[in-house]
Amino acid sequence: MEKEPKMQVYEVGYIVVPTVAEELLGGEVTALKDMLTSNGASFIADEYPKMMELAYEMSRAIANKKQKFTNGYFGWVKFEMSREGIVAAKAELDKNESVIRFLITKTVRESTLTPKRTYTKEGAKRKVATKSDEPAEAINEETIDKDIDALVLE
Amino acid sequence: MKQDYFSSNNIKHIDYKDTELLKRFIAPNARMMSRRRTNVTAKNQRKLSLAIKHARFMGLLPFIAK
Repeated sequence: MEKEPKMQVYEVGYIVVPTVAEELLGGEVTALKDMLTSNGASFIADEYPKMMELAYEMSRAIANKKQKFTNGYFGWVKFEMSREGIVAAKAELDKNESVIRFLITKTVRESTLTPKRTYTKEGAKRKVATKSDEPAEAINEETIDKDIDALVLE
Repeated sequence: MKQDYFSSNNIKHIDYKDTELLKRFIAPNARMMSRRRTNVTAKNQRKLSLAIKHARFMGLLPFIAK
């Protein structure tokens, strides 16, 4: 009995060299995706590369010459592929000289990115809550009238 | 009471691309915070540390802050 190839959801994050012009970036992405498709990938989600500053300087040998980069286009693509396919894809990504770095991770089909929210510390949240409570109390007309009456009597 | 951030926010998979989230768990000098400071469960702390390491490799987070 022949075994069916076991499929696994993978994600490839990659940084494209900043020397590529913005107009030619689309071509690089399609070339990368075509390579993955030829290795049996079925795409789930992706994000188009965006120019970003790297947290530290990275070096990559391009045409046998080491080059340093401080920024690059970071993008990612999520797909389903067989275990054999990802090994072949990795070998091809290693050779791709327009990619500074890439990272293959096993992941799940669902989106793992958390919905955007404001990340505030708990202490800050409490302060906001007390501030919003104060004007609500101040609006109470009865207490204001009483306070004024008390002042007038004095 | 101490509460695990990921369990209380129903985050099952910690994504290395979510740098805004990861930044909550690194100190100003870019070191990872200990479990004592993060109040995260052991299981989630392991996932968190892997996500931070992946983010560092991809240049999304620094190894050390200047």
